[in-house]
Amino acid sequence: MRAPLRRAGLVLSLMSVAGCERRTVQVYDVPKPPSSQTELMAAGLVAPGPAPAAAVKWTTPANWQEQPLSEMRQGSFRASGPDGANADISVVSFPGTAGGLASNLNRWRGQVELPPASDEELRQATQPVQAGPVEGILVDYASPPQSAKPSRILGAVLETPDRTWFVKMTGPPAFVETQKETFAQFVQSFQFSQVSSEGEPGAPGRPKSSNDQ
Amino acid sequence: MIRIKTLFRPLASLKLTIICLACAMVLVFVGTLDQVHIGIYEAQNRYFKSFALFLPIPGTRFAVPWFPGGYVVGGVLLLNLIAAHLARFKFSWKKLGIVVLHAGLILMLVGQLITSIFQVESQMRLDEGERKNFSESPYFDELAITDKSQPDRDRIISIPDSDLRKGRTIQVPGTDFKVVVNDFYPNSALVNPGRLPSPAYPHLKLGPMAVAVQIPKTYKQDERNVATAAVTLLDKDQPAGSWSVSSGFPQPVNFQVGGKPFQIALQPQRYYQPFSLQLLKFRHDRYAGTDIAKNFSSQVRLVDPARKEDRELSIYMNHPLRYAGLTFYQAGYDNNDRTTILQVVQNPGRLVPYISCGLLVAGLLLQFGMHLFRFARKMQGASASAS
Repeated sequence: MRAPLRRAGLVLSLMSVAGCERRTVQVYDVPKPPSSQTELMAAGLVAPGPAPAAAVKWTTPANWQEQPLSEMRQGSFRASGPDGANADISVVSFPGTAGGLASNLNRWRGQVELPPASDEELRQATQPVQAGPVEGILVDYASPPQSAKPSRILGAVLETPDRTWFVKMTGPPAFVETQKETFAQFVQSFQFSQVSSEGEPGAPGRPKSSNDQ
Repeated sequence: MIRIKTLFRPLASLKLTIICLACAMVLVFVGTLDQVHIGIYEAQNRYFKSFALFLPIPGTRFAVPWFPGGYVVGGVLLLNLIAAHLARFKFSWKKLGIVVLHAGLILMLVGQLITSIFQVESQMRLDEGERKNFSESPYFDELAITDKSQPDRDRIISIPDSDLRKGRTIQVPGTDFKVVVNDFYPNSALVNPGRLPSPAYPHLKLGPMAVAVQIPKTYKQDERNVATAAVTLLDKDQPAGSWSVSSGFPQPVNFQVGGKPFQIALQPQRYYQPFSLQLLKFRHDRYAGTDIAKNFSSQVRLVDPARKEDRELSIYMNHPLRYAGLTFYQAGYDNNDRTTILQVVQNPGRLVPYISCGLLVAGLLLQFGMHLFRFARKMQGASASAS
């Protein structure tokens, strides 16, 4: 009688270990993550093309034209107005805090001939912006009225734990004003990795089920 | 033989069957209602994959069982069915149908038990061109510490989120590492530090512009908890580093221990496979002139070096990929139709419901067929004698 009981106990404990999705501390080896593009290119299955998707995705506004990327830029666009005015939009990112928020904002201020501001002044002139779960800031710096070459910068800074992302639009003040809403929407469309955001089913940024109609 | 029957008689009681069926009805009813509040996954765990339903005692950490859970009801029903056979079993060809029918029922209950214990569900999310050899849990997270020092492979230390509790020290088996959990939020919101009600408000700092604050766990079906943990890694009891990591940002943080490169991340629990899938093309066909979905399909490439497999195939509705004991279903899509989401199901009891349903049908056909045959023969005899 003892042996069958012990056997049953063993089977049950094995079931409980194997079951419940093995939720214990585990140490295991896996092959390095496959780099699909390189391997496929080596096999001649695909032509060299764009690099694998970055850790960030966004929705490009309809009236912006994509521009060639440089070494620094992860995104580059041009917005054109009816009277030939245009603005340049860039997306760059750096590891860590990229030298600190204040120094970067003051660098932007310098580009539109504004004097450096204190941390408190800088903080007061920002607006919060939400890109999925990431909360960032929006700034709007325009050249002083007496400027010979007036310019305006709409900027956004988004900070993920390992990188800081800078989105910047530079152009003539009047034209930049018309793009303010579009720029904010562009920044809000940023999705870092797979963080799910709140919203209606089928809203951008949320995976959709094949059962949704 | 008589003794065995006497032994099984109380367990074979028909009253017990009725009680079990009534309990099962209550469970299904209450579980279905509660699903609105706690979602389907938690409802399954609480009502059906449990031994009892618990009622928390207000003001304490304790809870008292107040109703049998699915395992108890199903288990007693299974024993009841088997005992009924043992106690009342008297084989005759006339009752063959009933025997087959009950065998089908028993198999169905056993199959459900196997599924509930062994089934593992996960998801594989692939961008076009992307290739992966792992799927991820839609429910659980893991603290993953990865040793990146080897050229061809990574050594992963995976600590389930269920082990992460404030103040806990976890010894990693087979290594000199210990992980001290300084704090853990099962669900959190990531906000700008400026949004904290006061600088002293409890939070975990993820970066200069992102902090995590604890919020109640969500049970909504279309939401996922964003866990955040503050941990310290000890190497031979000496601190090797402290980090705050969040599943809201599964990008790993790099660090070094003894000159070796490591990464740490709190990420959805991964299930690695010896083969990989690559999404070649996702298609979302619509009926002409409308936005109504007609078809979703994923063109994928399956590569398994061990089995020398390298082929292209298509996964679409009612046409899942079955490979190496896993089933890949088309489940969702994202990112302007450039990302596919495949549901990955591992269920060793997958075929049991088919077999048990087959047995049920065979048993019913046999039993009623024999009745019909006997009845027809009797009518024939009656009409022959009447004439």
